[in-house]
Amino acid sequence: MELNVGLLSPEILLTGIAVFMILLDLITPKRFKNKLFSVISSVAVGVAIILTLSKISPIPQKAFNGFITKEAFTGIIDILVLFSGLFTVLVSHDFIERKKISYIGEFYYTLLFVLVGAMLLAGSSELSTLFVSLEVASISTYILMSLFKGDYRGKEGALKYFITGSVGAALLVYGMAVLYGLTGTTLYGEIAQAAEKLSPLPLLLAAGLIAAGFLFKTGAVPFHGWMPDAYEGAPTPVTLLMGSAVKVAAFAAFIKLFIPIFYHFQAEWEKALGVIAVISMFSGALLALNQRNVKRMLAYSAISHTGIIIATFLSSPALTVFSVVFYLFAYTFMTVAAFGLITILSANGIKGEEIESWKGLYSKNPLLSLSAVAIFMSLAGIPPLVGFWGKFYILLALVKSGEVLLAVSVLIASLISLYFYLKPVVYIFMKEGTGEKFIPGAGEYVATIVSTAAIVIFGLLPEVIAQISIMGLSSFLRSLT
Amino acid sequence: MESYLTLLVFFLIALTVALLVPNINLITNKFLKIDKANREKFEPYECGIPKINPIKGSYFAIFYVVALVFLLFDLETVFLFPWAVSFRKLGMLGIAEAFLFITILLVGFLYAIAKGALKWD
Repeated sequence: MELNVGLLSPEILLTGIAVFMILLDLITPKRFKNKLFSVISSVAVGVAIILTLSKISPIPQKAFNGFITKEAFTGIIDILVLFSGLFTVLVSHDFIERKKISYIGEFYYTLLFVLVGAMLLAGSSELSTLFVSLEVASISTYILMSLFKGDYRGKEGALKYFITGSVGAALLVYGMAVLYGLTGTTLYGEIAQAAEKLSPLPLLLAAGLIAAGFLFKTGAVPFHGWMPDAYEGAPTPVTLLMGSAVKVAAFAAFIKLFIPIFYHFQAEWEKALGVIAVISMFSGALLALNQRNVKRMLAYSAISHTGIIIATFLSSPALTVFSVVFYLFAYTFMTVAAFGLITILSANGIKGEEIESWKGLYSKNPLLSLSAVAIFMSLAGIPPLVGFWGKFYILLALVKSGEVLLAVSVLIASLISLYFYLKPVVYIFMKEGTGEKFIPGAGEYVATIVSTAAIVIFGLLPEVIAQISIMGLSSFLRSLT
Repeated sequence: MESYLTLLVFFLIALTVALLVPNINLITNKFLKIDKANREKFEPYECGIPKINPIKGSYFAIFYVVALVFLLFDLETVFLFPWAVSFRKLGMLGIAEAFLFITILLVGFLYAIAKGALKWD
């Protein structure tokens, strides 16, 4: 019995603050709510970031009898989740000021529950913990999506996400049940030991079902149906959180589960995952070409990015972990910046999501227009921005492991996606527009500009992220032995 | 290998049952029903009494909320039964954890009361 509760102090802090906020919400008068709760939650997330930073160590640490394992890999993912949570709080403060919502307190503490769920998801090294934390993150996201008054798009998106997400969760549980039936344990380490002696056929069944569950959550192609509607329908700060925190944590959990247990018979499943990756990156890129709504376009581009990340699973485990951590690092900041920008532009209602209303933005706000260029070019993968380095390392990993065909398809998909990433830029700089003036709130402005600055700075100094990713990789490999 | 074959067979049987059970009444209805379409068939309630006015507006849905609050206590009982069985083994830690669990549930209950979930008017 070793509990080691201190390892989970960031999660416990966030849960405690969230439960406290439930009670505080009942006695606070309505006009102070937005300010008070945004301050409390941003301070809580900030303290959690410091706590997580102080706990990162290259030596893997276990808590709750090995149900939670925290390596530097998990620490990095936790930091990314918390940063996107912090930016979401900043963005939502201004968003809530403009929108009708009668559940302000509920919004903020549900947001904290999403963060707790995502952090536990990245930390879990046991099947039931994985499932419960995945559900905490997902159910809180469904609630967040449908909280705004009169927002029927959001409610529709939430229902679609809920139904498809439940199917995904059911598949995941079926896979877990098969895995448990085969090995008789739920701890990853023990499953991995038992799995090496088993024949690959039943393991393939488990691998297929578990991969399907995770592909649902990350939105790869056969399971991507909910993504465009959910991304477009959700209030923009919630889309930001879904696109960054939940997705990053789901990828981390996927890696943590998949590499120790299923990598010893990679030859059996790599073709299937490769096909899914190629189809995702192409269909995401092609479907995005004709979208007028920027949020919907970014949803399709998220599908394309998912395909690119999944392609990496075909290289060796070490290269996979390194390039996925690098890519997720870049992807988090790009997603936060892109959706932050859309939140600012939709200050006058729903219009900022339509690409027509981006006309002539340069004459209204040059700084935001220039950051839009950085964001979209980084998503497309143009040097010297951070998105380029993410794609570069993925291509390097694929070529090193001999998957040249896959590398070429990543390149072609990026080339196609350049068209729709350039479209907003064209509208901003080259079209005359009228449109009303808008006054961005301080929080969303800071969030967008800071994450855009991160895109540019990390793009110029990619070795910083590379060092961090190598630290994550080494501690991850150490936790396997 | 044979045991895995059993697993596969089980999977197929589960799939067949899952597909069949929800649809079995649809399939039998196809053959058994007496097909006489008339206007009353398309009413929302086929109770024999002519409808007075079309269904519009909101209706009283407090049952759902009460059911949700009931779920809170239901879950509490479900979790406390195994806890009570292994109470001696768990020791002080078990007591602390149970108290933590009930505190969190109580917060939810307080929220439900404060939001008027149990007010029946």
